[in-house]
Amino acid sequence: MTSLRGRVGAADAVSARDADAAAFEAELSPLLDEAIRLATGMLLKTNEAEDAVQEACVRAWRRRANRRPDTDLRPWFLGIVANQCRETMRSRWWPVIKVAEVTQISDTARGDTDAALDLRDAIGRLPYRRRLVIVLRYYLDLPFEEVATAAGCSVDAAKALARRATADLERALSIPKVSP
Amino acid sequence: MTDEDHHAELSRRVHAAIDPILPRDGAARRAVEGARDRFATSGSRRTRWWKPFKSGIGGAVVVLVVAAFMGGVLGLTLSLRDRPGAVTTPEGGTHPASTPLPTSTSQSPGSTLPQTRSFPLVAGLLPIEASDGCSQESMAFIDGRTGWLAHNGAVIARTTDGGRTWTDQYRAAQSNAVVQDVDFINAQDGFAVVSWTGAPTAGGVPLFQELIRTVDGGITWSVAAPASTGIACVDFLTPSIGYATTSSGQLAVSNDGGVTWAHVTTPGSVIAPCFQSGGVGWVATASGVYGTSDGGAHWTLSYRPGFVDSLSSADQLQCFDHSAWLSMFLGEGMNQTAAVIVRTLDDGAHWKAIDNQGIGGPDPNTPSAPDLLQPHPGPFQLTGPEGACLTSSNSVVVDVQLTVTRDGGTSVSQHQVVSGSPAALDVVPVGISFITPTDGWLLLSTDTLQIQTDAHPSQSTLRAQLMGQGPTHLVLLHTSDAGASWTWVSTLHNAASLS
Repeated sequence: MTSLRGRVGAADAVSARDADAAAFEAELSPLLDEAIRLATGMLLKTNEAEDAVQEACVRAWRRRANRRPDTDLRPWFLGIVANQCRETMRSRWWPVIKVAEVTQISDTARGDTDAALDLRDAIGRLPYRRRLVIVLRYYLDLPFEEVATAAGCSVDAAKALARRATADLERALSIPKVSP
Repeated sequence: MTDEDHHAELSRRVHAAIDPILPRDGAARRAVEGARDRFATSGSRRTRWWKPFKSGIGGAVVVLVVAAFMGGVLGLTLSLRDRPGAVTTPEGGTHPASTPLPTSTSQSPGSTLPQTRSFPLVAGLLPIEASDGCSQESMAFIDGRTGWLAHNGAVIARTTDGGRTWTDQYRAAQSNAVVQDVDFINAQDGFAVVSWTGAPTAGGVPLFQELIRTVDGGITWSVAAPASTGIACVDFLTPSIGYATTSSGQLAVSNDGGVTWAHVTTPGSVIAPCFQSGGVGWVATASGVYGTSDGGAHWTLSYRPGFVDSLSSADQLQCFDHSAWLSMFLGEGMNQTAAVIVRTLDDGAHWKAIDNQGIGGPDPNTPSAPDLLQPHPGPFQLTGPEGACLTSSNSVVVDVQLTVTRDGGTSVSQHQVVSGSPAALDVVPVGISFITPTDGWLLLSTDTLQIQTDAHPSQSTLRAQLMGQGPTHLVLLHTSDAGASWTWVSTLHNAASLS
């Protein structure tokens, strides 16, 4: 039988969880614009990016106990967004990719140039980690320390990935050489 | 050009490339609002199983297989896209208003829903974990203590102590009603389907099915969809988003907790559906198993068995991450059920038969598979991307078996749950609910069985004793070691009392 005491305890637990969720949401809110930009850069699909950030919010909530107190929230959360993007890229089905490409044509009306389209196409062909570093470093303008944390690698490894990624882009687009 | 100039130049170009496709204003707000509802469900049974199974090697294998799959199905996909009616172009992630199902009371097989166009769901609104599809399960645990089950026909009871004591919470008004498909999303939000028959008419015996829901853990229940909607089976992924099949085999989706439903176009009459994260889902139809990754806007044929009409007897379809498992019951003999269980672990690129048993031998038209299960397969449950617990029973000797795999059936552990002296007993697993890959409950139905509860602790298998014919009991067992050993928890008698 369910006792009244048990019900009250459960209600208290729900209230505490709601308060905890509200505090977590307030902490996360300032980072969501960056998260949307990261997901868009990684997935290059508007709808998928929005969905990935939403899923990443839930994952961050579930994993909040795993974050060390000395870890900045921003790179930690962006790392979760990046992982979610990777899973989304893995789970894409070919029919959806084909259809989604068709629907994205309407986006060209929003000011794309040929150069922008070429660069977006080149970014889309980069392997996951190189694409991640490019987006974090050159789209979110993060310092390499935070790029490394979000990418789950050392600072030196992040710099090396950025070098290889920019070299890939150079080959594809003849962009002037950049030193990370 | 300095390094700073190079950096600025590349940064400017990257911004110019990505900015045009940024989601429009309000994306961040929509994302966090969509996530907010799901914070409350964290820790439920649907949120934890997959984590221990996520390995780098497994992920790499999945990537390779999916890559092969993508290449392999390209031709098929393109041909499907050319078929009239097979493909519609989604209009982004927006939700059109749901369309209420018809309000007539007709339950004839030929009745149809309004043909609204199919649409993609917003992927992030859906959980990523397993879905048991329309499993018709009569039991649902959401954690180690709290669970619900349907018993004594039309009663829903709740436990908060792991199944030892139960409190009746709902009793259907109709005397011949049956509660089925009890489905709880979290400790508060739950759904169930109540079925009953009306007075016989010249056209036959009318069947009525209504969807009920609770938002307070079962304390109060209300009708979410009246019998006139024809909802026969539901699978809710969040408190608001759920899929349903109707009595005429159509698929419908609701975005408001079952109040309104919109028809989802499918390649055929749906026998069994299963949906999960991101609008990824499957339906079994008479012509094959089809997959979708956009909430039903597009379907791709994934599996078609070699034997005739087998899919018309599809029983359960469950999905988890990239996997889907389907059981088909092909016929019923005196002491044996002809059944086939197939599964895919790679989004449908490859299907493999896990169990293939027929009356008098394996079905010759099915890919070879070991006869893993007892003669009568029962309900099963996925416990991870490649994990499953499958029940089966033997009516010749009292024997209930749990077959456990964590690698898609490549290797299995067989656990005898109940054994007894040979007798014409009828012990049938009717419910299974695992909250982790190792921690779960099994619900048995029997009319002649008493579980011996004073067995030595070293005995892993419970002993059945014939106690003579009597009323039907529901016997609840629990395991905390993936079925290696079981403990009796409670027995629910037909008179709705528990001991």
